Amino acid sequence: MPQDVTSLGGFHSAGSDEAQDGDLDEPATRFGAKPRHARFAAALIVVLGGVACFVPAVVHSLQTTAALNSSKNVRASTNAYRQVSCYRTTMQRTVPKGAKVYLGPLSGNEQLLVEASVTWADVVIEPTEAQFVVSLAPGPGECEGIRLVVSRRS
Amino acid sequence: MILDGFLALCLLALPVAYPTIRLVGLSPATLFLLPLAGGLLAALGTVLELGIGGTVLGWYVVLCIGVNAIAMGGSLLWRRGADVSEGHPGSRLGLRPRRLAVALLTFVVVAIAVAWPLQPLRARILGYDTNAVWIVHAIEIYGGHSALFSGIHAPQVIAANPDYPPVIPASAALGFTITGHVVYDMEAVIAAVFNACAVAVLACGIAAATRFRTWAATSLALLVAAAVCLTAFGVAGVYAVSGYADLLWSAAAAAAVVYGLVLPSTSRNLAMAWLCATVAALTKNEGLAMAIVVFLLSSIRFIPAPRQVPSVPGHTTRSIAGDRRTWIERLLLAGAMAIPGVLWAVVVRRNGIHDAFFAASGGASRAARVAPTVSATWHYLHILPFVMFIALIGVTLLRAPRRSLRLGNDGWLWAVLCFSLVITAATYVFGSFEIHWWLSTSVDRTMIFPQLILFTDAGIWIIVALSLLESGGRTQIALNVDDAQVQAGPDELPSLVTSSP
Repeated sequence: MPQDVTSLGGFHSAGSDEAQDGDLDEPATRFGAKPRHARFAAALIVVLGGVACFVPAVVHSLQTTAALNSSKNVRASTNAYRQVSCYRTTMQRTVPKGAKVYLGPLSGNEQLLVEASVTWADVVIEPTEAQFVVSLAPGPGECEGIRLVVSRRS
Repeated sequence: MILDGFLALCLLALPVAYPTIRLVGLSPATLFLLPLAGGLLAALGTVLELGIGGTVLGWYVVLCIGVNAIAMGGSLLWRRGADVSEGHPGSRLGLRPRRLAVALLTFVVVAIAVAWPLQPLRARILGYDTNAVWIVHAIEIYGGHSALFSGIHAPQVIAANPDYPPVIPASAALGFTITGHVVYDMEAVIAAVFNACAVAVLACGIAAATRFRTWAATSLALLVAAAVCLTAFGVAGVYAVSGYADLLWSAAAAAAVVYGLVLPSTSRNLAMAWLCATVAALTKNEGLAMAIVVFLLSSIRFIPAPRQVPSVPGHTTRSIAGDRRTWIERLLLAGAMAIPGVLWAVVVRRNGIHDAFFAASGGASRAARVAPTVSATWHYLHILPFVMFIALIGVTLLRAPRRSLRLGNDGWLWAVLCFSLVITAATYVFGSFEIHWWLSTSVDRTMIFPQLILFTDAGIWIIVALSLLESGGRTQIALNVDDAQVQAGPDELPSLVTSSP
């Protein structure tokens, strides 16, 4: 007999396209011989145990969201974002498209320079092949306290 | 940026709405699946961009036209069958106001639960991998075939992991076509919304384990769904909103487990599992490994072993030829489902690109890598004993109601968990990076999936327990009055709604 498999939140009726469960599964049967009160107690324990699992996880989630959404974090992250976006804008303004660039002295921020130059400049490994050397340096500049230093190789 | 992000999501979701709904039916989960389905086509467009040429936008348009044509052709071919099933008493949407109300409520509750953790998007957080990997890939894909080809072969683009699959960067590249230029936080917005959609599909799947008669039980089930959503974002932490792909593949793979191995084994659930697992496969390499596991297990479940035939009185036997044929069918089904997911891996390897994890031998011996791996992974499995306890009680005392709901055996879920842990641990032990650095920079992300599976198991057992409590311990708890009418028609209703103390 075809069975309706629509369920909580289902708009549709999946009707007749069901298959039997495989090796691990057994066909649906009526309840076994477990006493009703034992099943009830087990169900209560499962619900309470599940609540005990989920409540700390949900609290942790809400705390994480609140911390990430705090004005202090938003300010810091927004500044960092402006800085990183600025590198690409500056690169496009100061280095001609397709130029060979060597990413100069790096301090763990090489991925930001690669990101700034990808599909715009041709990053080379050997400095001798480069037309420009690009590096980051602290100091007053347009990128939130970091300057993108671009120097032409003679 | 909000308007651009919204337009990008429309570009991803709307063109695939019709074929997706034809394939998996209309439900709250389907609505959350739409952007992910668009992301899948964008990823396949990137495969074609790399393998043949052109741009991701061009291939995306071609693929959208193709899948819509296939869906329309399919619906014309199957119209007669559809007319029969849709004509079934009470199955039309308009005749089920309560079901429609519950569906809308589910959508709203889950949407709120996944939208709340997205608030930090206003901070425009970009993680290390977001800059080093995902945005770089998105810019290369946006640049067209030559930019993508030279980008993945460029030795100087360090740490960019060019073999990583393209769901998120391809979708971000489509977003760049809307803005007209590269905007870094488009990638983070797309990734975060995709994370939310995948988590929502997972939560809807857990809530869909049964249908309740009372609003009280329905509300509790929706609370469980909302808790799953918030928990998933809590487990992922900052990675959920900073452009990383780990929550996406984990939640999509967990959703595939729910639809393929937990919910009743139907064609539509299998199709849903296929889409979710393919999203996981085309999001990250770990997702591809888990997707293959899910494809294999769900094929085994979907194609049951042949029935035993009586040989001599009192004994039954199975035909060896029948067994072999069944296994061939299962492998063919799993292989067919895996095709879109493995396409990217095949194409990048044909281009000579391999992952960096096994490139060279690591400093420490294999044995010396085991202890730190076990220690680091165990740190993220503190929930395991609690869920084991719940599952043990469930398997011992709630097996019958679970069967009555036609849910898959809990063993499937634990098998996936074991596969996941073994694959993750083996990657760390046999990989090439310095183990302590590698673990410190990645284990919190690779353990998202096992944690989601554990919370999913707890959620499923809560739903089963709530069903039992609502029914007062009666039999056939999955059947409410509406279900019974659909099964047997109104005339047979009294004989179906039976109960036992």
